[in-house]
Amino acid sequence: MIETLGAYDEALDRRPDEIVEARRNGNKVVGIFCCYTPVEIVHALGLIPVRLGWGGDDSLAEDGIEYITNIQCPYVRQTIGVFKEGKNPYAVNTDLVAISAVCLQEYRMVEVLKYYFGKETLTLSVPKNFYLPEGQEFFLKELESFTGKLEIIAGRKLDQGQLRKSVALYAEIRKKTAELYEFLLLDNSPIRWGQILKVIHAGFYLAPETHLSLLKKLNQELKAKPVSDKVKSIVKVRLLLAGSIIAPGNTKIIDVLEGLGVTVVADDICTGQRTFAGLVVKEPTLAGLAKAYLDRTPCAAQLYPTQETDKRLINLFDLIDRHRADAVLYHTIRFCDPYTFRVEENKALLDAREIPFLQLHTDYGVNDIGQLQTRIQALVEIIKRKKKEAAHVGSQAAV
Amino acid sequence: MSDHKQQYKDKVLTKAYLDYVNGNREYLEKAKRIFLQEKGLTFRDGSHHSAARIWEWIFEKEAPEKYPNIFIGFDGYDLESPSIIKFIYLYYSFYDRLLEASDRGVLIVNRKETIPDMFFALGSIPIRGGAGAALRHTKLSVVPENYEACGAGSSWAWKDNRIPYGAQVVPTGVHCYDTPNNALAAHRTGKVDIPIFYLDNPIGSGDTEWAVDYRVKTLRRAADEISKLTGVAVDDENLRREIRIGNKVRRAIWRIFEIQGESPNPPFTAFEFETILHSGHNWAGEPEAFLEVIEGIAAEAKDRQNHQMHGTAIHKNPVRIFVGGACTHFRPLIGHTSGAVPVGVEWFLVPSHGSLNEEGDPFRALVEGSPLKSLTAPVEEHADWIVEQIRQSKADGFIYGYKWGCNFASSAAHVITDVVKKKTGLPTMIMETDFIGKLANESGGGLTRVEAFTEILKQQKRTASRKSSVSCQNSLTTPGGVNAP
Amino acid sequence: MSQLNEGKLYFAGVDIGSNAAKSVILADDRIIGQAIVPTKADVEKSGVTALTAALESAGISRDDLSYTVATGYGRISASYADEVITEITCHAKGAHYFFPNARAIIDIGGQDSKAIKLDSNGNVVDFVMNDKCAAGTGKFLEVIARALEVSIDDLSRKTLAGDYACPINSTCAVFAESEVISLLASGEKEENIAKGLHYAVAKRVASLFSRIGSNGGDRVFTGGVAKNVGLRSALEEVLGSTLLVSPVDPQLNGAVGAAILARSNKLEELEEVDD
Repeated sequence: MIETLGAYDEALDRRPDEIVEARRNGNKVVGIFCCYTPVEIVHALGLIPVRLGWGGDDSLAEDGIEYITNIQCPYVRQTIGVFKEGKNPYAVNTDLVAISAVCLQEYRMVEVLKYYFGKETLTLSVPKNFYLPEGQEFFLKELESFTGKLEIIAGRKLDQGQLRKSVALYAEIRKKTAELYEFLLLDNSPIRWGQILKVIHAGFYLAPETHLSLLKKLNQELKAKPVSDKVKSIVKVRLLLAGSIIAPGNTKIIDVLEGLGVTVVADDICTGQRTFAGLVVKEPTLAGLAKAYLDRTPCAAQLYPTQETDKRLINLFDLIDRHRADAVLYHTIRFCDPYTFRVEENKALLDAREIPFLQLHTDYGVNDIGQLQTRIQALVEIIKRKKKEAAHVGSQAAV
Repeated sequence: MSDHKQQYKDKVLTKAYLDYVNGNREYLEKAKRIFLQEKGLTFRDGSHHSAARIWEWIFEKEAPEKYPNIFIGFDGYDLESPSIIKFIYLYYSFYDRLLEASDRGVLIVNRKETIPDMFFALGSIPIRGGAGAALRHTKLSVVPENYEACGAGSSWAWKDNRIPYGAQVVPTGVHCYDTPNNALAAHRTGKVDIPIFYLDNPIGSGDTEWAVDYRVKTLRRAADEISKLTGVAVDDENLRREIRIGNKVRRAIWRIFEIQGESPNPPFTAFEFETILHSGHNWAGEPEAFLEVIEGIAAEAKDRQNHQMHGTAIHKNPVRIFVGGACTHFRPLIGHTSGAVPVGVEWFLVPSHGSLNEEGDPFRALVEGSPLKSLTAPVEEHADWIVEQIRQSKADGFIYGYKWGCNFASSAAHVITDVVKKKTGLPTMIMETDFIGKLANESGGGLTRVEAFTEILKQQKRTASRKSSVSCQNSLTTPGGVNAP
Repeated sequence: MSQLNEGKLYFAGVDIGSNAAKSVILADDRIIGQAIVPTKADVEKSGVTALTAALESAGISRDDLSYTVATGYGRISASYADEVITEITCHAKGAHYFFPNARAIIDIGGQDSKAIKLDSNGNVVDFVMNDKCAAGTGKFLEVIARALEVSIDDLSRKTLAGDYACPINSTCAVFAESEVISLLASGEKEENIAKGLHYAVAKRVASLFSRIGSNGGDRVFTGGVAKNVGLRSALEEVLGSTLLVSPVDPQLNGAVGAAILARSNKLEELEEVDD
């Protein structure tokens, strides 16, 4: 029983009213899509950043089809469905939708939100040749222009001192989030991966100051928990979850995994580990932010030219090593091109390292849960058997 | 008078082909005698292709064996037109000439939606995608394998080495998303080992000063990469020369579109119209020869218009359809139906739109004048561009099509058709099609949808003409006229 | 104009669907003959069989016909027809014939479903089709009925006796079959399963229908599946409105429309000749 999680729930319950109140007092809410949008700038301008995007509800995803098509990913379709429904407090209370255009489908989704729901939108263009100097030059200018437009919305100029503070604040949030992941290194982590994901998602809505304070509390609470001294008789299988976005509300995979007693020890999802992976802002300036955001561990939608320099792969293998993952669960949602196009390559690389790789290609419907369970269970059985054999051999050798 | 019996016949209705099929060579012999008086075509390598050789290639030797689908369909080419005959030769011999050029060491570049000018200047032959039409009309069949991705992503073309690409210069941004992803995947899985370079036009970047600067630098870098492979130096004046030719080609193709749209009796059949527009992708690999032929066609089109001749097998008062969307064109959609004619195909028109600056920095000209601007623009601007072309072509209806798996085009479908509906008042239809097989989209469902849409447009035309004839009658009998209904 | 004054003119509509071939004979604008026969492998022959049977029921011969229109999936091979028109246009005319105030049609056939919007003259304004997936078509119910070893009518009647609609999660007919079997195994009442099945189909169809939008006016339910009382009731509940079904067999709606168009197109032709 983790008390701080209860505190998170309470904070989340209060948050919609806080936002409504803030808006009444003249504050503006910027709804952000995609983690490539430098949230520090939004915050430093006194705007309220909220990360938008929802998943897990097939019926809302169906609703979205009216404005886009059924060959878009369910995340994009559901998010449109949420705006159409007009009930979600964060969707309703967004004054400006900002998107860093990395994923083509998300960009189109924002165009749909503008055309059909009259949302004011702002795009931060992101270069695909981000490793070339001209790409970096472009992005800095683009970020300056983006900031200029935000300044008009905020009604004030970006203050360097304020930016420094915001950069420090979010750096601290990332640091504390990374510390949560460190618990997953343990054999008996006091917190489950699914719970960490929920905490990160909570941070999408809460004021960053609140989120940071709760993060600190959570870390302390977890550190203080007694480490289990149970004998390691149960063979545990440690899985890494990679792949497409797992948007807030999409608990399908988490529920299936936790239901099977499978331990996820790491992820490289953009709403999980990649909210902080490889993101180090060295200078609290626009140039520093531009550099840091382009350099961060990327989405598969950013096309790295060579395997050796591909930071997404480097991060993946680093996680497998550090977190001692036994296998990779590669979770893709239907029509997520960037991630499904990488399957063959990722599988080949992992096969070469003899790391089992299981792709779970799914959407938000509930009719394939049995199939997912069977596949995951089969994988777990294979790994358990291998581990038992290795331990048996090891103990024989010790004799 | 109904012409149902003719609707589903699997034969071309041009007199020449009917005769040909019925064993009557007289018409064809007459056309041959006239054509043999033409001067042939000269290609860039200096080779001359006489009229006799061209005729032989199409009707006697290579094409009947390798490209039997050239003349299939219930409408076809007007074989009485010498420019059309030369066009057929250029267009369908392209694949063979490509293979020969590759054997001689010429670099073949897969360049997707970019325009060809720069690549010709660098001594390469640029191909857009899988040289689809050329392949489609061969006896080769095509099977895509990709996950929820459009089969046209051209991965099949180079995975099987059907086209010997030596390099890939692929645009990224608001474009076909499957092509760069396919290219990368093939690279990473070791199936392909040729240089890839991304011509980045960042999503949502528009025409800001820094976006243009970035794209100019990127283009120059790509040119340098290609230059290393071909050994032909990057030369601005050379490139300006290519741009001048390119502008003329684009102008001629656009003129053909204008003539089709201006004419109450569209002078081109769907088959001709679409193939001609489509050839604007690759210029059959021969800029000068192609220019000569296309300008010849444009002149003949004007002639047809002046004599109020309409394309063979076009019905009296056809409904006029403008087709929008990616990798979508009309003829395979209608297959055997009649009563409709395409007056515009967005996907084939885009590469020929506008004119590039012929002075100054040619790379800047290529970026600033890029005809692809409408595609990469925010969706509402893209829709406005389409509306402009719809008005120009006096279309009666608009079909927006996309391939299953195509994120780029499908995601814009509803916004675009709604804008078109709002601004033109025309009926619109969204169609999802498939790229599997040789002549795509001829499944029952696709046909039925297009036929039903054509029926809607026909009915609207009937209603409109009845209204106007009624108002005419009223104004004759009632002094001082009467308000039109 | 002269031909009309000499007496009646006869027109035929033939709708060759994937499951059944239907034909209707009109004398001027009255239905005097009809027939429904199963579509066999020889599609052209099935159309001829339907036409022949309809002519017989009307008491006239093929020579008496002034004009014939063929529609439906098998229209391409209807050499006996003077004209072919898609089933979308035909269904609109058919529904309009019975219900002049109809502005929307839901047509559920054996293998496809359609939603059609029409104007006050029975002309199509917009349409949307589902012909790729069995969900929302008669096929879905057929598969389940066969698995449960009951007739589709029985299945439909069971619906009305259900207490509630047991949710069916599978959108795919093939998987729905397995789901139904496991529901039965877990003790769920057949009537509730039947109700749930019909609601699943209704929801799919309603989703299709929402894509053409509403324009007021009457809503008509056509196609063979319109005879299914269980589905009609489920659809009315999901859509929140009454559905009108034609007084003649709704499966004939397309053929009626085809015959109406045969008449109007022939008369137009005659007018042109006389002008």
